Amino acid sequence: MTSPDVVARGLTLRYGRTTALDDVTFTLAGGRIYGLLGRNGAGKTSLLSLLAGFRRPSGGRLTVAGAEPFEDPQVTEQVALVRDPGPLYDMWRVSEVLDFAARMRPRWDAACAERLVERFEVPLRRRVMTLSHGKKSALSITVGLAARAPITAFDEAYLGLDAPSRYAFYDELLADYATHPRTIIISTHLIEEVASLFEEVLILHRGRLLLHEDSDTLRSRGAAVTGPAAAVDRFVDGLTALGERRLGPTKSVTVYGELDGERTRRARAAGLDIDPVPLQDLFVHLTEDDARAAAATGGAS
Amino acid sequence: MPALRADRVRAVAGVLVSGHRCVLGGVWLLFAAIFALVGATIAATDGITTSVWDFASYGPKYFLLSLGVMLSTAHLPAYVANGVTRREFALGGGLFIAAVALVSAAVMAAGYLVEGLIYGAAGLPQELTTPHLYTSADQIGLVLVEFALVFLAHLVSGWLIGTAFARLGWSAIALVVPAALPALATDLAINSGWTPAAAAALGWTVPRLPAGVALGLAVVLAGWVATYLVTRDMPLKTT
Amino acid sequence: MSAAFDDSTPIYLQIAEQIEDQILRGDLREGDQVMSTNQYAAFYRINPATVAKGFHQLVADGILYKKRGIGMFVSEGAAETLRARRRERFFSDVVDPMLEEARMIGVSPDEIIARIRGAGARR
Repeated sequence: MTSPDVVARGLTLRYGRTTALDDVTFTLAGGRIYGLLGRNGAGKTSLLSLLAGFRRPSGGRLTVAGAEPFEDPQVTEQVALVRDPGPLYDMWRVSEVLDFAARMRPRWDAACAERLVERFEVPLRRRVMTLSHGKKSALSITVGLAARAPITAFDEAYLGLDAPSRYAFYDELLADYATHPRTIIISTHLIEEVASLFEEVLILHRGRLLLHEDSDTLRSRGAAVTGPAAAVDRFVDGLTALGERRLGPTKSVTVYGELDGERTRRARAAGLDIDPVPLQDLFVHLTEDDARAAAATGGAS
Repeated sequence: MPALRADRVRAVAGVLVSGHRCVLGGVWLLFAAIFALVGATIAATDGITTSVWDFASYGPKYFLLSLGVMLSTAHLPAYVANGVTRREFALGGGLFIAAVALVSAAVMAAGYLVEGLIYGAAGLPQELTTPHLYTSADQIGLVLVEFALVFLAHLVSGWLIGTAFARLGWSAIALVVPAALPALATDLAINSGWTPAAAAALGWTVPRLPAGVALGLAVVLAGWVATYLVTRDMPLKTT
Repeated sequence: MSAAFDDSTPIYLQIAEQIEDQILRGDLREGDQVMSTNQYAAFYRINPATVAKGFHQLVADGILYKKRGIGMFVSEGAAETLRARRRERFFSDVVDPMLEEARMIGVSPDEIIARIRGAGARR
């Protein structure tokens, strides 16, 4: 089963006077795990709700294998959006929720669902309204994974889980992705835990697409230059600086951009330390200040 | 690209029906029990000469109205979240409410029959005190027609009201009366319940049976079409 | 983020290096099959595509080869190839920095030589 491509061209969404998404353009090749990063209100949920056919865009186009999601059953039955915790019938038992999803999702894998509720310790006979927030999230995740939809998106769906359950989720996600490859989009702000799962990263900031990059490439673009203040200033002159910190005579500047071998050697020769920047820090720096972010990434695409 | 698939419409209707089995069964049992109790009490104290079950439909009518409201507020989001289109839901929902209305009408007819048996054994006349399409409780066909229509109308009205609120928020208050039209109009069209008194007071003439039923059906259909139109491009909240 | 990897170099290169180390240490011998990309990914909780990139790097370097439908295997002479490459880099990557550090803290080349001789004698 190959997953269809998701293509956005000039995608815009407005709620009254607020612009949730502004001229977003990207192509997601099918079958990869994508990280959708952004601060609260950046537009992640808006983007995913358009993908799931919850509403129509205000402008531009979003297509899945060439078709727009809204009210198109060919598309909506291929997209599963898992929210935290999402719509669940309070009065129903867990087993009834799973039966419901089984009837509605053509690729439903009952054995997978059974295994997952056991792993997450969600009791089958309990009614949804008696479950804790974490267990409800686990149930939503179970439904999302067992549905085996060719495009599965998790909108901060696992934030309600405790740490052991989160790790169980990552393991199950990877295992399922290995046996049933499909497009998976994970929207989050718990970045460091999941960063290694992403093949590509998209960063939304105030409704605009800040960047869309291969994970490894993005990681290699950040560097922290630390040393005596004057030397650091000389070295980073001309580079895009995302942020800086001072401690007495020492200064540390986070730069964005490729630092080739030659530059790195010069830095070391000048007594400067060049350290890598974790994805989470890079994300924080890039979304801190509009002007810097725009300069760093050459404006939104 | 077709906007709906027959197999999915059937699945929606099927799940709605099985999901409501317990609720509907329980509610009808409750109403029946209440009426049995009331009847027994009156019989023991005053003595009855008229049908008690005659009044049994008022409670269920309004219960079904609220069931209709729940369709768009509680159920639609869950179905759309599972990949169903709004059109498929509107059609499947239509099948669902038709089934509910028919079954509920059958319960009403059965209630009359049971009451008839009990009264017969006690030697009491099963006299009807409120106006209906039927003149005696054993005209099952007419009983079924009347209640199927009335229940269907209330389900549709509830659904339309619920959808209006889900889509427009509190400003939908203004639409409550137009949305309640199917329920009101059907009652009027088939001249049952409270309508003859109102009609007489307002000086209206009530249509004859076949015309009345046809009018009732037309109004219900219009209500369902209105619901379909309002649902089919309704944005869903994501908060 | 798996504790086995850091941010210093791209993860796929770190994976490649890990496998190279295993070959050099003798944990993986010529002709042995390497764990599949999915097994690797599950073990370290990383994206299988990243693992695949690391494997492809090793295939391009002639360290691993692919048997269609079966998996990845260690090439003939892989250990020797790696040793030769590491030897080349040994002086620039290990010795020169060591000498630089020694100079910074005031350790003379003679002291270093004496130490090396001593270590050699004990072996």
